[in-house]
Amino acid sequence: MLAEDIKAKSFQATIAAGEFSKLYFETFDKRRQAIIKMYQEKATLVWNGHYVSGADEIMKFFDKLPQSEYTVEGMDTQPILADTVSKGINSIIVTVFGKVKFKESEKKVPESKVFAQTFILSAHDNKWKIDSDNMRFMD
Amino acid sequence: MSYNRKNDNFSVVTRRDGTRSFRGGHDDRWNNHQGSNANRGQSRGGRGNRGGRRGGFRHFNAQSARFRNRPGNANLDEDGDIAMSGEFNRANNLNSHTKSRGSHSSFRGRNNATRKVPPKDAWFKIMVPFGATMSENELVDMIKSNINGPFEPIQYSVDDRSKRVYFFIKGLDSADALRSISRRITKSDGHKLVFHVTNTSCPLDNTIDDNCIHKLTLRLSERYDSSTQLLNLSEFHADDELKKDNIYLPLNRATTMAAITKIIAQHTPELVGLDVSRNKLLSLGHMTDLVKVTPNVCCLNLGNNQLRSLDELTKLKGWQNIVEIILKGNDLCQNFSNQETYLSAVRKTFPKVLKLDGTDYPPPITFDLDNDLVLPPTKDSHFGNDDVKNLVVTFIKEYYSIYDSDRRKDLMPAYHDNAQFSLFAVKNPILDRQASLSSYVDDSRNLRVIGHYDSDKLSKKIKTGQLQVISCLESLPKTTHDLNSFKVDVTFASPSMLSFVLQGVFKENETRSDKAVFRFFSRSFVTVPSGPGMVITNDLLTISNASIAQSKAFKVAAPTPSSSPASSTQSVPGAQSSSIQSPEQLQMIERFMADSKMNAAYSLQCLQANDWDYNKAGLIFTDLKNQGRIPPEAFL
Repeated sequence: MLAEDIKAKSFQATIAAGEFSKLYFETFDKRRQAIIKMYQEKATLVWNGHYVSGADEIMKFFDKLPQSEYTVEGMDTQPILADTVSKGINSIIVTVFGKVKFKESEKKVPESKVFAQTFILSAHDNKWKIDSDNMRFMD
Repeated sequence: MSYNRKNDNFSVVTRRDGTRSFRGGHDDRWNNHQGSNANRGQSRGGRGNRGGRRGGFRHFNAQSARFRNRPGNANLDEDGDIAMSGEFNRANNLNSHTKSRGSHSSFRGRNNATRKVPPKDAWFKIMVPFGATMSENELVDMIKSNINGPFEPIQYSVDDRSKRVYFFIKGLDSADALRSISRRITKSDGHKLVFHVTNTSCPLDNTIDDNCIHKLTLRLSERYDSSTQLLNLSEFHADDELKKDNIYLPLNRATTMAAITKIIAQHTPELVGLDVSRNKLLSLGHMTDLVKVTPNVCCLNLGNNQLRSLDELTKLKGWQNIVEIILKGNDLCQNFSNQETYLSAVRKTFPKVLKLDGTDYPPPITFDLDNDLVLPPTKDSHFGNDDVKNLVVTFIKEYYSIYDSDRRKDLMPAYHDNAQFSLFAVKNPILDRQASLSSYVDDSRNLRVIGHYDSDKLSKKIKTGQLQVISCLESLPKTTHDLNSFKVDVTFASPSMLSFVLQGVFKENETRSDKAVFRFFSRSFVTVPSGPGMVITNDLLTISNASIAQSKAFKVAAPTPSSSPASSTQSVPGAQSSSIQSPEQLQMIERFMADSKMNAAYSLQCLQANDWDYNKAGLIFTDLKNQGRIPPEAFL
């Protein structure tokens, strides 16, 4: 990949990542059942050390999480070299940092936790889909 | 870390029946691999408590303790500690039998059962409201200068919350002297000094000496059934074994419970069943710490105590997994006219109860609303398999041994020719006061701040190619990373690529103030195979400020000397200067690479060796090349 190529791809990545993060966290917080559409079928998730494989399983895992409220404080993205994730497909990596509240109980005021999340997305049929999702609380 | 038990720590060695299970230091769960963080989570609630202020406790040997405590020996003890506690315990034993302390609940410790004038050598407990506004020395001096005769406070203690000071004195004369000056001395803050004096029978109420702790630990281990994980503390005040040693440790005393909590926290936090029946418990407030250290308790016997209200139970609400509970034999049972209301009242505190006072009940019928979903507990690093783990752990160790050195330049071979590096620094969103992140601002590429469309600025802040990457890494503050704080998640592993995310804490080596600066970071790597290892193609770094707990826990492992700088490729031979390349120099290297077809590392080396004289470097290069003295790996 030439420097110019990287530049073009990295611009494409920033546009995609910006839309992605907005859409992802809004969906996660408000219409979580729709989040499955953002994962490709064989996507993997490592969530605070819990490993889950396959979009359906990921959805089941998310179903069990309490209601969430994400606030993104920072993010960055880079294009991944061609053919690295899979042949002939554009991929990007997105990092997100912020805070999140999970409402565990009606009685308890949820505490904010700091989180860092890394996504790898690939373009399938002109749609960005998540290949891998990694999230950890900072604690 | 204080909770990180060493191997020489306590273990109850005398396994008479072979069933005892109090763990010693040899527990593999604690000896986790580097890069994982098993210890950290376990420390909650226990730190400070487990430090072992009592030195002897840690090296306790059951046999020698038994020897020390033969009656004759105890009295020989010169400092009088053991002899004193012996007497004291005997005294209490008598008290408990003759005065039935329990029934005079509201007057506990005051000895109101006898309203006679106390004897000349009685003990008195003194409470000084707001005594904590002065130091111990100031207060003692102030008292001494205002009374005649000796004044010898014992067990001076301060309650930080209420600002009260407590101590004991011996002798009616001293007590009367203190009473006489109460409200007569003015403190430096303008308030009068007040003394509350109460006659007490147990001056040493607050201490359980080392010897007692040893005995207690031994007794607990004998009362613990490891196969059922049940600890039987029933009728503990009447424990025959402890009685033989003149030790009287009733469970309704806060100090006893505190000592037991400490021992359990250290040895059997996995406890699932607890029997505290027949202990004259009036209140459960002193058990709240025990609840915190034993989250797994699901069976609880509180039978035959003196609990008057179910409200007491709410103090144990933390035990949310309780399915079986015994409360019969407490006054509170009489508050309920039928079993139904009794059960539902208990379930208000412990909703999962299925067995109450020995009777089984069907689970309660509830509404299926997902209001009380609970977050799954955080797990350790995720590697997928051991091969990947070895590869990644080796890589990370070597990477950070160089990253934390003065020669980040040596990381160059760890990066792909077209590697990209970018970082963003952002304040910790839940920390009140925190260090400035200004040293990272110039390079920070936070899309939230820059926006997604300012392509010039964005592309400037993404470092592309080995030289730009290394040059940027060299310009960042020098660091020391805490490898023990690292959590690693392998997110994608295929023959063509391996990506992982690293979280941890580092310290900046130089700070403007004298306060150390601890940062939290999360770093995502994408690597591709290269030779036996891999090279980085993408490196995204997020920097924020560490939480207070993280800063406190920061601990640097002994430096491990690393022979090769990066796992994947050789180090750059002879690269010396650690100075940062200027933009002109970077351009020069790029030109040199194009002209010589050598890679960045060798181009840099050649230019450096010739003091950045481009033509001279070119001549030397041509010369060496013609002689065949440039290794093949030098070329692109």
